[in-house]
Amino acid sequence: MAKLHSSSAYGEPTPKSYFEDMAWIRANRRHLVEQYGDCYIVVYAGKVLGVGQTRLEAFSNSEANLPEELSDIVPAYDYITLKSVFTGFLRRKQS
Amino acid sequence: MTRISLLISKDPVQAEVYVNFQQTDGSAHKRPAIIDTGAEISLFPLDLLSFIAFDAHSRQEIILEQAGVVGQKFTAIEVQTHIVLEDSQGNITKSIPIRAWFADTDRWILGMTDALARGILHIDMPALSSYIEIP
Repeated sequence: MAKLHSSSAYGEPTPKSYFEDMAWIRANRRHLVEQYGDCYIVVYAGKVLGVGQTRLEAFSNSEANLPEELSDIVPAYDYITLKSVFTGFLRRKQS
Repeated sequence: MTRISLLISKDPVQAEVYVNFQQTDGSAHKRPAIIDTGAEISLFPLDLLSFIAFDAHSRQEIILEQAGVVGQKFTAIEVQTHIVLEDSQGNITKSIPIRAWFADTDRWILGMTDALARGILHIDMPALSSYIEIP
């Protein structure tokens, strides 16, 4: 069975397939959120390998869906939601 | 200057950039981070600290609060680490030293200090054209 990696070489350009899968997630975000809800999603070659409420859960769920013919895979993963982010975090002043 | 293209979205409206952390085994862990010019410091999920490289001496627990929101306080870990930014065209920056916060969040947020403030940020929403140039 193929082995799942969440990484590639630091400082080196990432394989094109990663960006294609990330673009696929973005293009299908609304549909994916409707299907899976707000969650982490792992995608390879335009297919959803797994989802989960945490990154580790999504990767764990993906292990069983890896293509047999491949040895090492660097899939795209992201947290999918349609909610906007409100940040504006400040460090609390010491009293 | 290295020009890195951003990802522009209209649903939801946001700009993102691919951020890479160095893992303790020397490889990279990557994901798009939201560009947030209103954020003083970059913010990332706490679980990353279990496998990315950072200066252990810089680690300190801090309390964050959300500006203008009463009662929205939570703890975070502040560390000194490094990132590289890249895009899908093969452009990639040098390793950038960055002070960052890590907390219980699902989002990757790239803030001003040590990151966005290092370069020139260009966002043209009508044309869906955007980039950051980092020296």
